[in-house]
Amino acid sequence: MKQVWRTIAVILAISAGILVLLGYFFDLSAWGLDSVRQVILRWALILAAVALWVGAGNLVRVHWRKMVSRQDGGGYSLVTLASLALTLVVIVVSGPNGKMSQWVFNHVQIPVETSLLALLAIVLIYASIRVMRRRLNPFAIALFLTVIILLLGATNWMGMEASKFSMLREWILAVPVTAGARGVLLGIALGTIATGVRILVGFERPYEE
Amino acid sequence: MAEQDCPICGQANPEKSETCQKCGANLYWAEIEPGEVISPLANKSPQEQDEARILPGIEDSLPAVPAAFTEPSAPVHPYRLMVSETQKNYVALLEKMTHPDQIQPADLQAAAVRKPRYLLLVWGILLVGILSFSLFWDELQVGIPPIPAEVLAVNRSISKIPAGAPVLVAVDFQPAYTAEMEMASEAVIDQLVAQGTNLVFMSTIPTGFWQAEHLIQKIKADRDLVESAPVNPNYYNLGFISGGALGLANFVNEPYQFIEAQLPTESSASTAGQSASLGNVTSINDFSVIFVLTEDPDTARDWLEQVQPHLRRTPLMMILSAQAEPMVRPYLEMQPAKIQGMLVGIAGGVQYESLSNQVQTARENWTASVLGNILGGLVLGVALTAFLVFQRWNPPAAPAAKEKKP
Repeated sequence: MKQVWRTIAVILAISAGILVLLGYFFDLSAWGLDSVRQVILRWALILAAVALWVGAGNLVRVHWRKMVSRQDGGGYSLVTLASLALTLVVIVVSGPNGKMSQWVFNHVQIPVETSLLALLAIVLIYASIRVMRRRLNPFAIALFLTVIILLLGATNWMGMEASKFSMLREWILAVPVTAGARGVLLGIALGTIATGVRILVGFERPYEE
Repeated sequence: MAEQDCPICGQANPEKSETCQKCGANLYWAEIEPGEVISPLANKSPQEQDEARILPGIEDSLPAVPAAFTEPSAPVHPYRLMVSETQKNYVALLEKMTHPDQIQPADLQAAAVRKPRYLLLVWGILLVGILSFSLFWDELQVGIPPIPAEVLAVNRSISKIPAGAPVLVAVDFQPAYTAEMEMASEAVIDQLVAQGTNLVFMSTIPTGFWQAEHLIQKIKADRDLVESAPVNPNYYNLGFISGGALGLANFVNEPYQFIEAQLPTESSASTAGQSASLGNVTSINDFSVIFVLTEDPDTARDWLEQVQPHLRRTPLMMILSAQAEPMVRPYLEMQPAKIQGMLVGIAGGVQYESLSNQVQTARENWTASVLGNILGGLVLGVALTAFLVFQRWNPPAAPAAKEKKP
């Protein structure tokens, strides 16, 4: 029986995948399959939204256990759960478009996240200097030289119309960076195609796990 | 004659058999067990472990000495594998090549040396001090970077949009990037508002709804400050569309489904003209232009893969964080281009503000941004020079014993 259900799952997954894929290349409305494709896409959308709730539920479960079992950092779990509950209450009472919901976003979320990101400016430079102390091989030197050129070449400074740093920066962005980015993008594309094909032919069955 | 049992099926096999007579398992490989992994810092105190990190006090930060916490497994040479000494040496050489960061006792000792934490404090004060200084010294102004073709293309496209035309704006950046992204995009959105276009905001991240409201309220507040007759922005906020790339694929197919869901309840766009204008949006190509505001190259790629192929005459424009530029620029430079215009970071905002002459948010912060870059570059340059000189005069100690060549 288990084998039968497994076979049905494989057939459904492969059919749905191929149908959605074909929609990118052909007009499926001639065969009346376009509406089926739309329905599948809508289901995926709903499932993705449900996954957010599952994620939130898992967050609550993990932090609740951590708090109840008095593990290290249990206090942080309490803060996390209290923040979640408070935000949920505010959004339910005020509505997603309400002023209170917007207030929480403007006065809590943006300042907290922005401040954490701002610390990177300080921490990354400090960490770079520490890496220099520990390991200064040719690759590290090339990395740091590139960072220095990109930082100093961000603008035409000290009154120079086109500083050497700016020209070097432009070259780095235009040649090595673009070449590397294109390589990465090609790699991503090939990897995506390979994974897609493996799922479409049934070699990979993530839905069985 | 001694026998050996198959570890898989238990079948007794003659000694020195390579495979099991019953199940065919390889009798050499089946018995190999992973080598025991011993962290060199396992016996160290938490304080010593902490001090071996690049950022003392931050538990998840990288070790100052690579592989200080998780040394690669020790070489495993089961006698049943019957490898020769030469082969063992090859394996050791291969492991050394694939784990160049393998820790040495001397490195461990160096890692345990107390780190100069005052350096972080000094650097922090220096950075904050100089940046604050630039905010109060109005005369200190740095030049505007040259305006590239992609920024001019954005300006040309916006100039052609008639009043009342629908414009799609995807607010797809995380709240942490609010400052940079709003400085990059404010002049563009402000010009669209000034021209009386119908803005349709949407997002593929959960906080996108509030992010769009934050952006539009900021523009409204800035306009209220400088204009005697403030403009009331015409906009719809479709909010969060779940599913990432799949959500976009769905949106492209039936955008009006999403707009229609907002029409009865959205009070921001209450006039009949606006509703009629958006009521005509039945296809993604009915938008005059599409702007994607993002800091994430993957999100930009989702738009390029799911939406761009469906566009016939509607230009796709990107407003990006500086960190996303390298991965997105190839799409701008390819032939034919997948992106018709692009602004990048605070520099992009400054460039666009110099064209539109409306808001000056990015311009006001440009000097501080440039000073921060220059300061960071100079500090790293001085440090790199100092360490190179130091290394030149105090070269690292040579290995104690030269390894025998395999």
